[in-house]
Parts: sequence; C-alpha cells; structure tokens
Amino acid sequence: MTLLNPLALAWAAIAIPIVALFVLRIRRRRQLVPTLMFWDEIFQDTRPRSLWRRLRHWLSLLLQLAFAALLVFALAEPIGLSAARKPVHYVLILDQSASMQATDGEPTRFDQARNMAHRTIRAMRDLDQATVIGAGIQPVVACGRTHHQPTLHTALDTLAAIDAPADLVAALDLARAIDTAEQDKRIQVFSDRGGAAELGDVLDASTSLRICGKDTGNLAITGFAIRPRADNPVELQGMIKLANYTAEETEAEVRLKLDDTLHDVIVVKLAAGEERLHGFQMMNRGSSILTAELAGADALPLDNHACAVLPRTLHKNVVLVSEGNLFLESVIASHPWMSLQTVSPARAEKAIAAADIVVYDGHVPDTLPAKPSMYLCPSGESKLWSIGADLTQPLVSDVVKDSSLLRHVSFQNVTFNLARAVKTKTPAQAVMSSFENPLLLRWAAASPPVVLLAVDINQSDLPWRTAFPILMQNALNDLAGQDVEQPSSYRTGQLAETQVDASQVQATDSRSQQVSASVDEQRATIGPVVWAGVTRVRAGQAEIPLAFNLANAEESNLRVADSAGSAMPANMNAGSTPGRFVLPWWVLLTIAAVGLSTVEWCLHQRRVVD
Amino acid sequence: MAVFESDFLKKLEYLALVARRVFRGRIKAERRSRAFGSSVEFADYREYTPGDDYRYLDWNVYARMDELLLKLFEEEQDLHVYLLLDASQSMLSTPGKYECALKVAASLAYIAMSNLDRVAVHPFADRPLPEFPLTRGKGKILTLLEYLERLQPASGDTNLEQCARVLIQRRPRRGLIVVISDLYDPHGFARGLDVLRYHGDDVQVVHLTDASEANPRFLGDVELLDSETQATRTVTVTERHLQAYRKAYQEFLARAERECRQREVGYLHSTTDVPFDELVLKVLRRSGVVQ
Repeated sequence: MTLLNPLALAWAAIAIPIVALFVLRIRRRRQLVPTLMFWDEIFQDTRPRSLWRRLRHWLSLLLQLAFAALLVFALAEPIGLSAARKPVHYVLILDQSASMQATDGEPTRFDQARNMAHRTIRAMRDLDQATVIGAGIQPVVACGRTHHQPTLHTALDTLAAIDAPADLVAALDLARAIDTAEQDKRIQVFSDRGGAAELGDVLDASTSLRICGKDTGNLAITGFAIRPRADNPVELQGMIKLANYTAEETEAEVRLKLDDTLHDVIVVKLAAGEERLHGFQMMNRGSSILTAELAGADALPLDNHACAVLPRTLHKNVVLVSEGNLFLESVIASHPWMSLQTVSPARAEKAIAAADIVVYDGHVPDTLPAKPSMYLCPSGESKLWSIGADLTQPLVSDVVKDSSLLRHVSFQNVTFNLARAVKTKTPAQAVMSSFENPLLLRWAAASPPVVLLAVDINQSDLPWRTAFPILMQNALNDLAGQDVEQPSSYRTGQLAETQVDASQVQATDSRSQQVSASVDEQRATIGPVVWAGVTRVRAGQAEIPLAFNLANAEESNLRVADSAGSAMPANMNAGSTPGRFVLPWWVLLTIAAVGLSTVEWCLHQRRVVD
Repeated sequence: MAVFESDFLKKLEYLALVARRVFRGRIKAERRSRAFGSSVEFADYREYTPGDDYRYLDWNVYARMDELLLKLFEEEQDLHVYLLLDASQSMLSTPGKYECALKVAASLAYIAMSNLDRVAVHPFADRPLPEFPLTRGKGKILTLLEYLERLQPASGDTNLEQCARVLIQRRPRRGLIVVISDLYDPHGFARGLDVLRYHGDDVQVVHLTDASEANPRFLGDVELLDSETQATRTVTVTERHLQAYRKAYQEFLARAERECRQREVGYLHSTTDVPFDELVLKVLRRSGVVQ
C-alpha cells in the first residue's frame, strides 16, 4: 500500500476539533422543565445503566475519528502495492461481431460490453492509460493510448456491433503489438464468446476474456442462395439453411418475397439444435431481389432476414452464320434469353449488324466482327489464330476446371474424332487442350470477347453428348456478359466480385455508406461489406445489386456455453473489472466513512438506544 | 413588554359587561349576611340600652306602648374574593403561562370589583409573597394591574398548604378563594385545598398548564433542570420514556380533578393556548368559578 498524495495526511489535524467538539458536546444539553416530579417517577427504576451505555460516548468518538481517518486516507489516494509498482496500460478490445447485437445484454451484448469497458476506464488511476480497439472484421484502434478518460469514453461510444463476424485473434495480435515497455499491459477482451475456442490458445496471463450476454436461444437463417438450373435457366433453384439454437423443437416459418411481394411461405419444423438445408424452386420472372424472413422475434433479429440477388436475364440476339446445322440451331434456340437468326455466310453481313452475338459454324469472316463471337471448327485463320493440320482423335488432356465455359461439364480424357489444329497469334486462355493443341480458346482480353471451339462437331459425336448444349449455353452466357458465376449472396465480411463494363465503380451498402471498391480486368472487387442487406455497385450507367447476409452459424448460436465450449480459458472472467476492485480506493473509503457517520449519528442522537 | 396592554383593559371592560349580563341576578355584590347592619331591610327589635343610636329608636312604639325599642336592620355585605396566585418559578418555565395566570387573575378581580365585591391577591411560591390587600371599587383596577405587573415570581418550590394557612389567618372573613396555579406542588396541593375547605371558604381551582408540558419533544442525553428547585437529573430520554411521561402527566391531571371534586372544590383545567377572555367567560362560567 502506498499513497499517491501523502500531503493530504495533513488533514488528519481535523481530529483535534473533532475531539474538542466532542468534549464540549459530552456536556449534555440542559433542558429546563417545570418540575422533576414526573421524570423522577419515570426514571426511578432505571438508574443503573449497562456497560454499553457508559461506553457509548467513547464509541461515538471513536467512530467519528474513524470517519475522519477514512476521509483523510481517501484524500491521500492509497493504491495497492501491486498497482503502485507500475502504471497499468489497459488495452480494451470490444468484440463488434454480429452476435453482440443479441438483445440479452444491457440491452444488447455490445452495450453490456461497452458498459463493462466504461467501468474499467472509470477505475483507472491517474497514471494508468488505456487503448480502445474495436474488433470487427479487421481490428481498428478507436482510441490510442491515453489517460484522458473522457476521450476514452467517447471512443467507446463511437464503436458499434456490425453485421459480420469479428477477427478477435487479429485484434489480440494488434493489442500485443502495442509497445508498453514502461507499463504493465493488461489486455481485456469484451466478447460474448469471442470465439473462445480460437482464443483459447492465444490468451495468456496478461489477457482476460470478459464474457457478455447469457445463454439465449435463437432461430436463424444461416444460409441463403439461389441459382438458375443448368439445364433450364428459366427455373431457379433455391437453398435456405435454417438453424434452431433453442432447447426445444421449434417450427420455423419463412416468408419468401420477390421484390417485397410475398411469393411463398415455407414452414420447417426443427428439433432442438438442428440445422437443416431446405431447397425450393421457382421461376425467374425478371425480379431482382429475393428475401427470406423468419416470422417471430428472437434475441438476434439480424439473422432472421436474408436476401439474394436473382440472376439477370439478358436478352440477346444471336446470329448463327452457318450453311445449316440442326443440332447447333436447336441448342442455341433452346437458350431462353437468346433470339436466334440463322443466315448463310453470303448474307451474313446485314444480319450481323443487328446482332449481339455472332456464332460462326466453320466459316471465318475476312474481318472479325466487332461483336462477341464464337467460332466452331474454323476453316481459316484470322488475326487471332492460325490453322494447322487437322488433329485426329485428339484426347482432352488439360482443362481449366474453374472456367465459366466448362461450368457443369467435364471433358477430361474425352476423345473427339476430329479437330482443327489452332495456333494463337495473341494471348488466349486455353480452356481445354489436347496436350499442346488447344481445343477450346477464350480471348477475354480481346474486345469484344471471342470463343473458339476447334472440335469439328460435324465429324465427332460431341453434339450427341449432353455436355454439348451446356457447353454452348456457357459460351453464349459468357459472350452475353452474363456472369453465371456471380453468387446470389455473400456473407458479411467477405469480399465480393462482379463483372463490370467500367473502369471505376462506386459501391454503397444497405446503410448508404460507401464501401471500398476496385476494378481489375472488368472484375470489380467490393468490400469487405459489414452491413447485411443489398449493396449496390454503380458501374457507369449500370447498377449491380449484391446481397450480403450474416449466414454464420457461429454468430447465430447465442448460447455462450456452446460457443465457449471446453476451450474456455482459465482467465476468463465474467464479472469483475480489472484489478481487485470495481471502484477506486478513495471512493470505497468515502463510502465507508459515510456509513460510519450514519452509525455515529444514530448513536449520538440516540435514535437507537435501549 | 407590559403584560396588560391597552387592549387588555378594553377586554376587561367588555368582560365586565358580558359577565353582568350573563350572571345577572346571581352575582350582585349585595349579599345578605347574618350580621345586622344599616341597610333598609328591617330585621328585628331589641330593647334600648344606653349608648344606642337614638335615630334607630322606634318612636311610634314608645308613644303607644311606652317602651324604648330599637329597630334592627339586616346588614348587606359584599363578597370577599381572594385570588391565590401561583408565582413560583414553574409558572415561568414555559413562556406565556405566568402571563396567562396574571390576566386571569386581573380579569376575575375586575369582574368582582365591578360588582362591588372586595378583592385581594395573594401570590405565593414556597411562601406567601406580598399581597394586594382587600380592595373595593372598579377605580382601583389600575392599581391592581400595576401591582400584578410588578409582581415577580419567587424562587423556591410551590407550597400551597403553607400559603393557605397564612391566608386563613390573615383574611378578615370567609369568601371565595380562587387558586390559579399549575399545581406542581411537591408537598401536595391537596393538603392546601384541605386547609381552605376546612375553614368554610368556597374554593375554586384554575389549573393552568402549557401544552409543551404534557408533550415534551426532546430526546437523547439531557440534563433536566427543575425550574423551581434548580435540581438536576442526568438522563437519556427515549421515545419509551416520553410515552411514560405522557402517561404520568395525564394521570396527574386526572388526579388533580379527582382531588378537587372529592373536596367539592370547583376545578378547571386549561392550557395557555386558550385566550384568557374565553377562559374567563366561557370556561369559568361552565366550571362555576363565578357565582
């Protein structure tokens, strides 16, 4: 124990007037009465008094002196020996993850965490300092090291829980990176679970995890997506993942809305702790946003809502330049968003002028059209490629599996009967190759894009294969600029990518806040987005919606015990504030002094007497 | 500040008028006594003896019967009112009590004087204090008031018995004795009443107390100081003690009334917060102090 302000001990001189006043006061006040007759009658039986009565005056004096001593001691600002050695630097990490929005705190878990942090700051001594770090998807220093408590409180108030998971490990790494050589550093993590399992390995003696919230049941949408069927793009396949994090069987009612118009209601009965994937189908009628809403209220409203962006329907005019190929015509005509016009090479020029996509069946024009085009078994060369000798029975040896052209199809180790030997003049992506000979090429950098299939479809069984119409649809979608790989929804905290026809884009999230966005090779990278809802990307005149949902089972599971699990760190502390006391010593001493004063008053004023 | 202000004198006059109307026919000063005197009311004859006044000889009887007979008339006597005023220190222990007693005494004296009665004031404490002698006539009221204003309470306790004995010895004849006191007599006020009643006087007691005496409010460690004897008691007063005090005080009031009634002594208890004129008229009439 040491004193920060020892000069305040001079106030101990106040004991002198206290004793003097007590000596004066011990002479009892005189009360004039008309006669003592009645008083003698009352007191005649109570003359001998107890020992307590004789000692009471002295006890009163002792209490007063104790009262004065406590106040003087409080003014001297005593601190514990351990605290006196070094100033303490508190690093306060507030978990901003989505689960901190749960309303089982004060009123939310994040509010509870913030209040705990406020209390920690209020308990700081003059020489102590603190740093406030917000643990979102990336850790952010909300307030640098300072001892100025109002600044720290203000920084705490600027933090809020987000709709995304938090990276507490990164926040801890950042906290540890703060150099406090001259101070005793104490890291406090305020979290509802904070991924206690993942933190279990990184917590040490200087780090304490302070738990907010309590075990609370929750019904959540932990996944939501929709996509067009591969064989029929008009039809959509949807998936919704529901999780019941309550202790009893629950019936979940999900309302599906297309652009805010009720489309369907799904009712799923979920056992306690069950997670279930539920599929559904629907027709694509040109709507843009599909939302799913869980009926009823629970502790975390955020995961009761999810949204997805429906695939865009790009209507294109396709001109097939061919001498006649029934298979090819049928395949292109089966695409729901494509209008097909078949023309002979001799009369192709006029039709090509009005086309969006041109498909050449064996024919190669003298000049490649300024439209997205596809060449099937080209008979001649162009500025992009040259033709060599035919390839007999080429074996597909290499494929780019993640290419959008090979979506849902696989040609690995397939042998075709005949193909052209194509040599590229400009860089192109060989999506499918037979050793050194490319069979499927894509010039993505070219403007407009070009796709070349070297396989002779007339001399091979490719058109008979199921893969052919899918391959053609993939190619047409690619040329139409329809990004079929575009996910219908993202998780909050993720980066999103989308195809754009502009060099610069602007993104605005569901709270009308600007989101970081960049463009590279007609691919825009958006985010990370921290707020759930629809983020809109403006690229030139076009606006592309991107859906972001929490879709995180760990965040939706509000049961603290479950999340903490067996990996609960030994220094996890659910209740106390740093150090050994909640309030400064001087406050405790003052409270004790007031208590003693009250007792003394009762004794002296004899409100409490036998 | 003077006890008797100009308003007080006006109230006295008003009291006298109201009292005359209220007690008309009953409180006249002319009260027949058993003694023969010089009034116009014929009483009897007796034989003449040398030295009698010739003016009372009945000359008609002498002419007819040749006997000297003297005419006797009933003597009309006024009422002697003795005001025994408690002037001990206990009357000063609470503000207003002594002033109230003085006003009551002055009021009764004035009413009596207005009715041609004789009034004497005998203040007392543990001993008789200089009294105001028997006086008759309304014109002496100012002298009486001046006497009362100068009257200072004496030290010592209250001893009604001793003062009663002295009064009995000094008074020229029986009359109405009004005791104005708080009755805080450590020797026992009843013994004083016994002395007064034994000698045939009509006795009335006006028991004056203050409300604070019945309900003290101090608590804690106090040194109680007796206003009369200056004796002290160091006590710790609790609510329980106050309750016991209130009970004892009520018993004292009940005992005072009971003692008076047993001795056929008129008794009136009043607190000092009752206006003195109301006390004198309404309350005294009800208790029969003035007859």
